[in-house]
Amino acid sequence: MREALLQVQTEMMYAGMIGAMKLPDPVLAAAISRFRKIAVALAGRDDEEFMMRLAELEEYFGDRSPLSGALRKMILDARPSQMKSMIRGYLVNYIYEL
Amino acid sequence: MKQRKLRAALAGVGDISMMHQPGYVDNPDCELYAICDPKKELLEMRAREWGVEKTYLSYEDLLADPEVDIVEVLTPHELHADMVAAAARAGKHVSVQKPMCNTIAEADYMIAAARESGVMFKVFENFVFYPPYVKAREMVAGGEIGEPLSVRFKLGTCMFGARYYPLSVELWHLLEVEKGMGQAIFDDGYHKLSQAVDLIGGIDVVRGWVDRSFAYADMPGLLLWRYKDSDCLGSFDLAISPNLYNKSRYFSADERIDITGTRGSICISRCSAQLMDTPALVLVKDGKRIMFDDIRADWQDGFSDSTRHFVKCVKDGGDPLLTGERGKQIVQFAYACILAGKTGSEIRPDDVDDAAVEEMKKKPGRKYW
Repeated sequence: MREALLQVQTEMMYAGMIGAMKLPDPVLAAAISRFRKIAVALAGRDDEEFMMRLAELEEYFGDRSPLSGALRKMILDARPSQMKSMIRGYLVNYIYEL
Repeated sequence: MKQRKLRAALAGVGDISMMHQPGYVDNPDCELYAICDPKKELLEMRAREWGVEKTYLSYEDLLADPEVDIVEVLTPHELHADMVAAAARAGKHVSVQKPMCNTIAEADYMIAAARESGVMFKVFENFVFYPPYVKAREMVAGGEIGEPLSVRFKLGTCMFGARYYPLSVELWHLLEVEKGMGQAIFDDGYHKLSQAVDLIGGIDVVRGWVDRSFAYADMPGLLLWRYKDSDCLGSFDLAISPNLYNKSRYFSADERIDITGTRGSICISRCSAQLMDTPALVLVKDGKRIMFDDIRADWQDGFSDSTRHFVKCVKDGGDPLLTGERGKQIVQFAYACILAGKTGSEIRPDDVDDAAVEEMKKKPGRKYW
């Protein structure tokens, strides 16, 4: 059951990620900024790296950095199986710490 | 009269500089005297962290400081050639972070500038100073395993478990693939190729297969080579595991070297992380397995020992081991690996020139998926 739930969550996150990559930079930057504000309010002491990562993403999509293009290409051109494997790893190792 | 300590400066204080600075801590021969970076906030932060008083936003100003004896260039590859040449012409001994450059012409330019200026020039690399490897090299040279028959390098990149690195570091590395280089073979792989040459000697010919992961990363791959002056064969296998956790204070890579000889075998592991619960160095010979449990095996040790070695060479004279010529040899070897992986042909590193590299960049590469 746990594996099935992980798989469903992975598929949903992958679909969300691919969908988000089709949005323009300013829209993504604004969305990440809003999410970061909520996350800041909820973050614990162990969440420092996650908050730093969000700040980076906001920067890359916010200032038309060439890195936003690289990030999009990496996500959109990668094999779906590799991306899903990475998402599963993130869930297992950092969210649920299974 | 007591000679004053040598004075070193770091040009570029990005992420990798944090591995270079410890080589100057408690160093009896050299002090970290100055740091230079155009990013003011970063420069001031590093100066505070390391207790360095002299800071320069301008590289020209740094080179004009007569107190600086050694410059370590720790900037992106494409800036290396001009920065190294300028430092050499200013009379500074120079160490440049690997890989030394993107083109063979740039390598020749740096080597010539250092030679004409009479300064010592090193292409910095830490894996050949990793203590378990140094011990293994001594054992091979001392005949502990007889004649080397094969040497196998493994790089298993794990996506989780490394310390925090800005995403820009990874993306910058990955973008190098589009310019014909690549994170796995040209950059990180440089360490393994450097050890391959250091251990056995020059490379005759390379064959290989290289795939792509995450659109950019030049892995998985398998590279095979023959040496010029040895019957030993070499191989390097690279893979990326998107769902593998490997805890590390540095990069979460599973790195191993197996050296097989006519009467023994050596296994070196850990380097930047530790996936397997085995000693960093194991020797098997004459029916016995010898574990080197107490050898220094922190990845940082290789950086510090590499720095200290160069300082000793500047102070007392001697061979910096990782010379400009060696650096050029490794760049040619790396390009030969990429060319072989892309074309499926046998490539001789000695034949690799800028024209061959430019031609290779136009090829789309093979895909296996």
